[in-house]
Amino acid sequence: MNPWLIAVLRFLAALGLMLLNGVVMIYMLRKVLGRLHIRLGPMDNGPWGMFQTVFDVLKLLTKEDPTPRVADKLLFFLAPVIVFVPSLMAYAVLPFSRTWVIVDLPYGLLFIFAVMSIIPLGILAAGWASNNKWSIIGAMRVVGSQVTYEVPMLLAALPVVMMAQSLSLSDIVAAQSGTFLWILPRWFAWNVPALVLFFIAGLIEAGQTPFDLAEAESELVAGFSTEYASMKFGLLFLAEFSNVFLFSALMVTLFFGGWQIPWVSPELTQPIAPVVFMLKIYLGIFFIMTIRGTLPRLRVDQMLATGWKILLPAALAWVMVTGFIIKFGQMFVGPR
Amino acid sequence: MTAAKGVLQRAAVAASVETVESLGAVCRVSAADARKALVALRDSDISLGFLVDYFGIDTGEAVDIVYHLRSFARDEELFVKAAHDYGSVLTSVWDIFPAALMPERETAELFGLTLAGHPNPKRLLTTDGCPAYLLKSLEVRGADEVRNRAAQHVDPTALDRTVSSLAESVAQEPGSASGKTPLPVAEPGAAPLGLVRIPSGVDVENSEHLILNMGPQHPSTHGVLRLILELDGEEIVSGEAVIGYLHRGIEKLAESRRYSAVATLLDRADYVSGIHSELAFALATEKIAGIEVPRRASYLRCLLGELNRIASHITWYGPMGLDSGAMGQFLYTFRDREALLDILEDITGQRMMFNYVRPGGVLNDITTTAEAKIRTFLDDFAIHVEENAELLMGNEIFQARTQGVGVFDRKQALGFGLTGACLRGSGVDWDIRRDRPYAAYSELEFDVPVAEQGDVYARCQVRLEEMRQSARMIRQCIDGLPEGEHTAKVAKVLRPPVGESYAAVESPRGELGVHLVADGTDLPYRMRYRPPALYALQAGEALLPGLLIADAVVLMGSMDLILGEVDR
Repeated sequence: MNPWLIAVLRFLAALGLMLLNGVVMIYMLRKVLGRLHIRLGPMDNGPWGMFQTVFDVLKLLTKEDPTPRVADKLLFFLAPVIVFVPSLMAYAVLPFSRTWVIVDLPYGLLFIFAVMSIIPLGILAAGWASNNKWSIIGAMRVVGSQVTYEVPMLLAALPVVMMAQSLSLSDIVAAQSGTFLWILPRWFAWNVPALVLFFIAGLIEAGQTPFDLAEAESELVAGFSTEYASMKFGLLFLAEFSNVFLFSALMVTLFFGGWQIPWVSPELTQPIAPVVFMLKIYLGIFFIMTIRGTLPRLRVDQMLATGWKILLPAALAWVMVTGFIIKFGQMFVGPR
Repeated sequence: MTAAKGVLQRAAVAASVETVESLGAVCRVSAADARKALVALRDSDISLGFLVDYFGIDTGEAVDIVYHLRSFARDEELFVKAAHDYGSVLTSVWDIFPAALMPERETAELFGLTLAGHPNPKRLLTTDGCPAYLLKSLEVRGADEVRNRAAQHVDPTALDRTVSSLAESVAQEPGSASGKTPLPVAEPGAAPLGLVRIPSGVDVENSEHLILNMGPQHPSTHGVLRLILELDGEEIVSGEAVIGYLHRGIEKLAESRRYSAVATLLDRADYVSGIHSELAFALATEKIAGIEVPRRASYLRCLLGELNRIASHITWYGPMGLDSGAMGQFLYTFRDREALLDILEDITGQRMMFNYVRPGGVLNDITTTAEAKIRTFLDDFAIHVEENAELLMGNEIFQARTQGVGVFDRKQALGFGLTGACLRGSGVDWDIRRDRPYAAYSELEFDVPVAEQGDVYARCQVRLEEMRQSARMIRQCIDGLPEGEHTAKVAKVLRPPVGESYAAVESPRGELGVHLVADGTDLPYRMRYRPPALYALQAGEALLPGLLIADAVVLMGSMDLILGEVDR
């Protein structure tokens, strides 16, 4: 087959997955929050309100798309794209099964971090271009939080890389097959400090409660997206959900064995691997949503303090501890 | 009250002190001596150091400015009245009693006086051009006319001037009072009680401040509060509260309503706890008219009042969660609010605008269905309140957000005229239900929660415990509801004798007082509504400098502002 055609098809698959995820996750968020809040969530459109999000997308598509008179027109238009595209790019390296990877890069993890770090730039652009005070405060908060989570998040992922001895996501998944101590699945989640650090840093990265400072409805109206409407807002909104999905996918890949089922050999899992992977991701998303429906929000200085004073030193220390453990393990047990 | 007289004599102030029936001790001084008298009374050993209320009464010859003072130490009250000529200068007393900051502005604009010595003598409630409508010489009947008159005088540059005066103050060095225009807020609120602090890390020379208009359409301003914030980064350098968007002139409207019809107006003042404002007015009327209220009616007033207090407190509690970012709290509280509103509807026929408490008693008796509903509610609420408390108050993030934020020490709380949970959160043990019992509270058993820290969390704790105590009182009320009539025999058209009275109730927001002047006709001569939320607002406003935006939201949330009451 024509390699170009394959590339285009793969791109469309990623785009389709992202859009579909967005629609499903928005519906899921409403239902989960509804359950958490002793209400029903959407019920009118379709059975159990299933088509509510579809109608919302249609509404967003057909809405008038005003640009503020004082906005920086070009940047205002570009910002949602700058936010959306890196989020889409990150899908390229997610291993849905041994063979279902759009591009199996040998440094996939690094690639994801690299493209994801473009997103705050887009958000800053959105806030700046809107020429709205709420937007600019929200945007500055995003930039502030990026320097907070980026380093700890990388450092928290480092122990996993050291254990798997690879930056390729497929290799990291493969390194988590089988069991140890007779019964426990060989997940990197047993490296609990790394897991916790990564999770907290990831919550900041995905802008989720208790770190949803960029939007902070009760403080900043809608933060950086205050001036956005119609499908431009839709793109920003979609990118946010996509980031949550990616974050959950990274958690599953790095710590919970990716597409593998514990105690079942990878060969047997192979046919249903994508389904397993998606289920695990959605479990993670569910967990994040329950947090979102429950916890209050941290103040901006408290978030920065968390990042710099707790996450960063702890992550650094844990990289060293993990290194020592691996080294001594090799000394006594021999290389894996 | 000879003590007050002695104090004033020693201060060389010509004053007459007399005891007015159904009101208490009234001290009359001349306008020129008012400041001197207030200083003497505040600093003397009778320590009348708490300004309960500040307002005016048009007597037909002059405007009587009433300073309502209270001494917590000696449990005494004194009304100081100073007659001001029409259109004369009203000298500010904000440096003696910071609580007078906003009421002074309001009094000056509504009585056509010129405010002198005030740091921010702008109009508070009305727009430029609105007539001084509380003057008796002005025949204004109804809000339409006020609006029409104001519309003729609309000044389109008013907003620009506000912003530019703020911008000018930015140019000055914060904290120095040497500049041409005084700092709009930071200075006044702070100076007497040492509240202002220069925000950390402000480079006054080089960094440009951002002026942010928060509200009146903003998710966390609970109505139509507007804060003009001057920001350095996320830190507030100064803030000014702009109110009046919901001003309806309730005090003037009450002057053209019969006594039985005023309650409908008051329902719309504090629309979350209507029973309490109705009750305050009814009590004030009964005091002048000498009406004996049946015991059953008193119990029903307590019962409804406490039901309404829980309804109001959970309406504060839920948005407090929203303000701090916890979405769930808001919806959890609606389990109870729904049940409460059902009960209130069952008894009064209305869910919010009750018009239930009338002079002489209450509108109708409790229904049998309501009693069963109340018992079910109490059982549920006992569980729900603990769930809510654990979920929000027990949350570490919420504690980190609220502890040590927005602290009023005892002196500041008293200075700004805080009442209710805000005052008790700062360690002052004062509850009108216990210390000035009205209705049937003297027969009920309850504790008054007090917290010492004075921060946002302390206020939350106090309100939470108040809900538990309210539930306790409701149970006592329905168990011990005495038999008898639910209302006294009151004339259809009530004509209380000439007189003056003040009645206060402990509303969910604090001391809600009604100062009533009757002239023997079927219409009140003057009805002053003491809005506890207004005093809470000006205290919160004074605390803004130095906080972050997120803190400001939580602080204003903790003051439990109902803008209908602030604006009246």
